[in-house]
Amino acid sequence: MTTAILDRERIKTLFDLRSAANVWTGGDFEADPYPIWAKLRESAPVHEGTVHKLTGYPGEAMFQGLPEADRPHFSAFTYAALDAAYRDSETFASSGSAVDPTSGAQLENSMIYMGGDQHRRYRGLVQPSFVPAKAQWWLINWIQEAVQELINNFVEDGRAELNVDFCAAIPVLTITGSFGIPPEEALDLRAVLQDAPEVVRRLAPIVAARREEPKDDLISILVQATLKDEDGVTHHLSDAEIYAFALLLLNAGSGTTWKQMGITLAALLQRPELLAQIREDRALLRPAIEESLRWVPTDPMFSRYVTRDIEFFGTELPKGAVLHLNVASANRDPARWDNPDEFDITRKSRASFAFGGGPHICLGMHVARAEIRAGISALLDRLPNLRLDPDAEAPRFIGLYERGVTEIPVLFG
Amino acid sequence: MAGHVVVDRELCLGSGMCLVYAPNTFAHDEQSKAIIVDPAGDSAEDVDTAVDACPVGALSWAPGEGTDSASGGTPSTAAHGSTGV
Repeated sequence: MTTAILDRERIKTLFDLRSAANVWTGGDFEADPYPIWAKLRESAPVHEGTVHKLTGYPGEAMFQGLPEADRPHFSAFTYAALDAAYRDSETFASSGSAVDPTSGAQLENSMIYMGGDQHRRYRGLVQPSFVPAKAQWWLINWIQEAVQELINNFVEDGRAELNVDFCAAIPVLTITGSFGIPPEEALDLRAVLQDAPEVVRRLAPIVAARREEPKDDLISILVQATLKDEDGVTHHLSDAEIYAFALLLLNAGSGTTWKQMGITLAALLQRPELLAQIREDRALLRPAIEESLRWVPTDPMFSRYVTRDIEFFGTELPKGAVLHLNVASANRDPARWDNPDEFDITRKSRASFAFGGGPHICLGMHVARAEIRAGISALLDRLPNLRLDPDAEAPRFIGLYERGVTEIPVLFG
Repeated sequence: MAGHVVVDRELCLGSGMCLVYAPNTFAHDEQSKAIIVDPAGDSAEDVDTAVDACPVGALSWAPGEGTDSASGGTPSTAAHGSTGV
């Protein structure tokens, strides 16, 4: 692999939260939302309105196709409320309507919108490729090489901007690599990600080739997978079903981990003593990553559709409403964590909602952790005296429905 | 949390959350269902963190069997926790 062919300016455009590619999620929100969310959380577990309006964002922001104009929206802010919603997927469904995966190759037909037994059957096909024991498969086949190649590109320079030069490229190279897409086409695919027919056009030859001759990659697993439908009949996945899977994995895999890696790196670079400890004792990297996930989860909001009238934590939710789940607020609920605003890697590790919760909990969470761990560890191995550039603007945490850092200018050597 | 932890295989999704918090106690079988490989692999506190973390409530503490990790339950489905954490 060579990653030198990756166009730096293009990465900057695709992976700057403030750019046109990302501003529709509220990427230009630059205030600190946490004090606002703390006030909302303290005043009531559930409020009427979307998270972005309740946060005071002046424009329109969207995430996963929401808000929908014809549905009332509510937002939950406490750990207990989110836990209850995530664990009751009959009352709080993942889609406003039934999903028919045979009806077309689109994201809306992927398992993230399914419920109950249907979701369980589809998720079961890919879960074995994403369990912790498979992290080595991902690391050896795709992650390690990308990480080392990217560092090769700047290791002689004595400086880098790690958001563009490092974090942004690793997840997109990992997920496209696992699909059998060469690195020189990875950014093209990222650029057209919102255009499902175009993504399908690019994937079609690979799916056809893997049907002929499977390899050791993710598309091969999908073409070989057999699904038992509700009548007990077993069948292979159709092309449309594979494309829906692929669209989901590309969206989730290339759009999240780069931001969380940047958040983790920025948090550590802003704490040089802690970074020095981790450089000496890499076992500390795991709790540091877990704390970063709790402290600033990159996707702070997911949603559920209310399927029946219910009084929920003191608020009447009508059937048909959307409930925004503010996972970032729940992750700083003082009812669950002491001094929740502090970044403290020594705190007792326990589950947060960084990867969501309930049966839809993030499929790729162990791969994401492996990417972040491998990435930061390699930086510490190869860049002595890694530190923030004191003459450049320090990293700032920005974004509303997708949170990340502005830039990570560093010096080393 | 006296007793031993049990896995409900029907509920288990294979998310791997239990392996994050109690990696020496839990593993996955070939169907990506959680199994218990060493009932005494992690502290009872860590196993309890895993029980709390399971996104689909597939882990629970079963009463009885006390603190003796050599008694009760089958090794593949149960782990024991000490009392009083």
